[in-house]
Amino acid sequence: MPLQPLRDDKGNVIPHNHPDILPEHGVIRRISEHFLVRDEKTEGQRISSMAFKPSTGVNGGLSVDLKHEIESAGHDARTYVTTPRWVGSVIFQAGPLRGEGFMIGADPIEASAEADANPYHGEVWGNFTTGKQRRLRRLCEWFVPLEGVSLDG
Amino acid sequence: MTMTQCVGSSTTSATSSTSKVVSIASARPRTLISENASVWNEEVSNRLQDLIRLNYGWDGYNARPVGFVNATFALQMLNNICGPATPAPQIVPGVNGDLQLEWHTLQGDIELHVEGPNNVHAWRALVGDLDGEELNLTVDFAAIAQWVRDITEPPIAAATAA
Repeated sequence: MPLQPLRDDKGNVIPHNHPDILPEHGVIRRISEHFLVRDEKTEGQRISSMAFKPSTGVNGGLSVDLKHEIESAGHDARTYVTTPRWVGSVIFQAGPLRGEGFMIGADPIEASAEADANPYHGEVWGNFTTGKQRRLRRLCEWFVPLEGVSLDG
Repeated sequence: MTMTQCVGSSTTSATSSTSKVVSIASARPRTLISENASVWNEEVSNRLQDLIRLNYGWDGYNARPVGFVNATFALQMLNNICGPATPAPQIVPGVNGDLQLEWHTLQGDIELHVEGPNNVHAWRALVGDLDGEELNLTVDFAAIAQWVRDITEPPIAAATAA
């Protein structure tokens, strides 16, 4: 059964550190091709800082997929986060993210007219300053790599 | 060329936003929005058109397409801060309907995060500067016009312009 998030009286997910997301658990961030930029210094592509900015809604955070939950449900995590068209992804460990002051919790998405269900969806909440967005890039590594795209920058 | 021509039926809101930007620049020499022969305009307009047509959830989660008002504001801000020979910025959508204009050149990096009209978070780092500097901008974009010149013009040309 997917992790159940902490909710307020109205049923909204509120920022929380879920105790069942352990420090060694993987936290996956999908990387759309729209997040890639060219850099003359490396003569190649890298990931824009926009890939690491949170949403602005009530209790908005950075959307992620919880690897341990995907695999516990019997799915292959790489296949899950790449289907149907998301071209790449990076992965963090929960421990170092929390070490930067972020909270990591569950936020399952129910199917709607606009979105498919994702019971393994999570959020990273915290203060996403410019400096922290840059440190996030240094904390992650490729999960589904994009050829020719650097994580540096 | 402006976003007005790019998205036909939204002429009114684009014109309204244009008026805002022109009035903002009133304390300085104005850059009026008109037919633009700059090297970046067509590329930027085409990219913005693509981004306002993104599907909901384009990032694999819940991202919205870039908002038309934000796209129009970004184009008009570029008209204010870029010269005709300025290379086109790269434009990256945000998950909230926002967008970011980016230059990554041999001289440094600039990111202009358009969170909404008259709500821009600007960051730049020249080569060798690990942390960079940040500005929150609302109506005065003169500082980032200089930033753009600093990293997109050859060093001698930038010094002359300054």
